[in-house]
Amino acid sequence: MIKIRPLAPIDRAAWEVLYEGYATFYRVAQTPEMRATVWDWLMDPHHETCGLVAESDGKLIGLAHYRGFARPLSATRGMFLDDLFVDPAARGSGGAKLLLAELRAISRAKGYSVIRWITADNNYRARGLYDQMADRTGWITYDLKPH
Amino acid sequence: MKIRPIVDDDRPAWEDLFAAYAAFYQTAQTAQMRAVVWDWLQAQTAFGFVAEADGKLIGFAHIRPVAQSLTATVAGFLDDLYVDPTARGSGAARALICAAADFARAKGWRDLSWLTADNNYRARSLYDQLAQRATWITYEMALKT
Repeated sequence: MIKIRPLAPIDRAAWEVLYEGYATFYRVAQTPEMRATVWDWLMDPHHETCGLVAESDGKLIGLAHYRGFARPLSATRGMFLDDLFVDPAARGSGGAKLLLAELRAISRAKGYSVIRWITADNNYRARGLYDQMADRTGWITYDLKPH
Repeated sequence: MKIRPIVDDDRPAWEDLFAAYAAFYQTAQTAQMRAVVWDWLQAQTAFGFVAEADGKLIGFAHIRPVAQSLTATVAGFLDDLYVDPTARGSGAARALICAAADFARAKGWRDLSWLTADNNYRARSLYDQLAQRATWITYEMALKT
């Protein structure tokens, strides 16, 4: 039985392990200092970034980090899902689908007009689920890095 | 032509440009919707820049900061960019993007990113010169029509 709930202070050690696994998947060199920064964001009720976890038999098996964002063209707010991760040992458990369903419930309660997220082109397993629950858009992302 | 932060007196001209931008994206935009966004700009949860030529506004850009958890940094996001069709080719779009990037840099934001439609070819030929095209796939779950 998987339960989805907000991230809580007691989760820190297990969250660190999961979030490090996520960064490894995206080949980001993530330091303990970077995790500390994000943890502080997640625990700060005034910071836009919020967290959910998936728990199974008392163990954390997944996480989602999200925030509200302004959409000037429609003059509405949406939810941006920054990070979604399920422990590889718990893949196929339905954890990702349950996390997305909870994010949808939160977004509806807040009156958001959309949930948006990005993923790697070759993240095929995850995209199989995303294709069932959401629409693949044709948006092209551009990045301008400072010199 | 000069680029500067938007100010109170710009509101009527900004309304005209923002309405034209919405029409380009085939979005039904009301005065009330423009008022919501104007309030965001006033509250500086988003930042507006305008391009001015001969005392007339010919374009605008809206940007805002974004917390990026994976990199544990704050980045800039360019939501809207528009140049009046009669002023296309004037360099206004390039100048607006450069001003937005300078602003982001001064704020310590990690980079400036934006989305565009795959077939927005004219704009993309400029974006390809100024920025890198990422390979991200964007998913959206629509919650209301």
